Amino acid sequence: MSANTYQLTAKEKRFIGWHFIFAVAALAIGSLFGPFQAMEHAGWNFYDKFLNHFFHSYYEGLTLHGVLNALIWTTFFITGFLTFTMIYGLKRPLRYPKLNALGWWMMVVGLVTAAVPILRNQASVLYTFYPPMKAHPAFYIGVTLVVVGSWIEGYGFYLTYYQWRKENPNTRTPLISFMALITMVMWQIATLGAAAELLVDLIPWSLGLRAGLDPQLDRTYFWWTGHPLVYFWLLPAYMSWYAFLPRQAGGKLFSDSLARFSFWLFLLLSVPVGFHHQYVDPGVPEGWKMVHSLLTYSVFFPSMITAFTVVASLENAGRNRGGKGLLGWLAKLPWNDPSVLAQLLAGILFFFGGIGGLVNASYNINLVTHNTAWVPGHFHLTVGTGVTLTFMGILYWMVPYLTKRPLWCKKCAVVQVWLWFIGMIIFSNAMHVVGLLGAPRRTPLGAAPYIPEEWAGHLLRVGIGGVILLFAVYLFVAVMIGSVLTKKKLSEEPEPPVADSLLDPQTTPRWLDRWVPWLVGAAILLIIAYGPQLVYQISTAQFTSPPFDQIFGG
Amino acid sequence: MSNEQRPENENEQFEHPKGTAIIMAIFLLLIIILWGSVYLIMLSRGVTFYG
Repeated sequence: MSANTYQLTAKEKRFIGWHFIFAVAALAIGSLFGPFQAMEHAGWNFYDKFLNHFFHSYYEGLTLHGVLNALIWTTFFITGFLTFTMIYGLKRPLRYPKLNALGWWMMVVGLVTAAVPILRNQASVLYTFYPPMKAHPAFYIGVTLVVVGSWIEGYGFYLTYYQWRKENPNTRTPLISFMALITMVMWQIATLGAAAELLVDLIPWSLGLRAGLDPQLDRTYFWWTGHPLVYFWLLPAYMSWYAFLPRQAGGKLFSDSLARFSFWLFLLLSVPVGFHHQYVDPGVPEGWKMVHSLLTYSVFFPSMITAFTVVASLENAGRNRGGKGLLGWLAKLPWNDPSVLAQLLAGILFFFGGIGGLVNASYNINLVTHNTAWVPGHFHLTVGTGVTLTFMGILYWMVPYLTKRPLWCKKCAVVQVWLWFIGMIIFSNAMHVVGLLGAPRRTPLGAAPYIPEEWAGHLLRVGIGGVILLFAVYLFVAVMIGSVLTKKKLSEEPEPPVADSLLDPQTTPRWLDRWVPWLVGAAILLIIAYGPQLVYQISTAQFTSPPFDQIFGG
Repeated sequence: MSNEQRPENENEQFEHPKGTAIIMAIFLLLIIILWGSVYLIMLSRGVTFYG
């Protein structure tokens, strides 16, 4: 064991582990409904045949899928992973563990509070909860508690970092903790929009304290949060690709400086881009849509830095393992390690998700894909694979680390990763293509009377892909449960695979470890990108839209 | 290489990531092809002129 390691206490491991237990449980339940929707598209409607005793509508299932997978699986996993990276990176316990425990309990209470109305079909408003569709107040309150709980865990990280910095004034912040802090800061800036929407508008409105809302204003609040939410999911995956995967593959991080620089750019650029989700909103002027379009394209820059640095680190690993020639090192990577395999395949599909993202960000050609099946096809490559498959890969080493038990059925884990990869290619490709042909999203297409013949084969592929993904997700859950329950014990304490950098991190420029200029820059950019439009939209808002709370039979 | 920018292990040699450069070039080419194909679909659906 190298001198660079740090032993977490059993209590700390349990605390982190409970985050992952809730995350995997949410994934297991939420993922059940994704394939049901995919199969519905293929004409196999289980909602009407078997599920109608338990679930009331396609949209109840779609809400469960979106909320549990996109909000709960991710937020619980990420707060657990960031807790680990803060403690292990700084090599010190949390400054105020009870504060973090309070945040955790608030998230759990919020989850239960939001789940009850969803399961009673009183909150079938999908995970974007656009007004004027109205949910039960408990749904909005529950979501708010989950977000505020994650903030409180973040405050615990900041106080821990503050203490560490006082004790280590001249040391570069360890990379994994540095990345965890930026992820949490970005999340706290990003969720200000949702906080305004929930606290000022949706909760009072759902409680009957306000008569009506202005949906345009609330869409603007939502997308302040909605797009950087994607980066809240992505940055922990990038953390793993930068700071863990190179070591797992047998190499070193190509550039500590590039990794830090890209994270600062993500902090600056991932929030002031929300209007690119509102290109067809009539209440947002075209000029501001164009500003956000250009800022969205600027996020391409740190994304390419990430792609280059991660692949270069893998090239270093492959060559260390004897790889020769321009691309011969690829074959030398440890493809039989399920954790590495999951992250490599996640990265490959994420490349294509990135290309689709550029299409979505383009002001003109977005009109071809907007509100079509292309969009869920796209985000199943990004959050559904780039993020989720990476998180699965992390758990394939994290669970043995936390439990000191070996991964149960390593071959099953390898099969699981390939199943996810193949299922997602089939599903996502079909969704992209049928979207280009005009198929709408968020629609039970199996019940639609207007399906043209040319969609049929693609919708069948959507269903087949969904079935394969169903097998993949439950194989993952089985490996997780088997690994936790196995009676076998590892003889030695496993070591987290934190990668060294090719260059000494202490040589990383000091300006890449200073917070104030970057935070000020992020604030200025936000004021420029959102300030004038928010002032205009709030001052001209018409709070007259009545609620639609019976639209899905709720 | 300056003294400030030395590898953690002085004996370690690292090559220029030529394979990475190839992969990035392929990626950029794919972006152009796939983005362009959607752009052509948009054009095939007709163009709206203002004014």
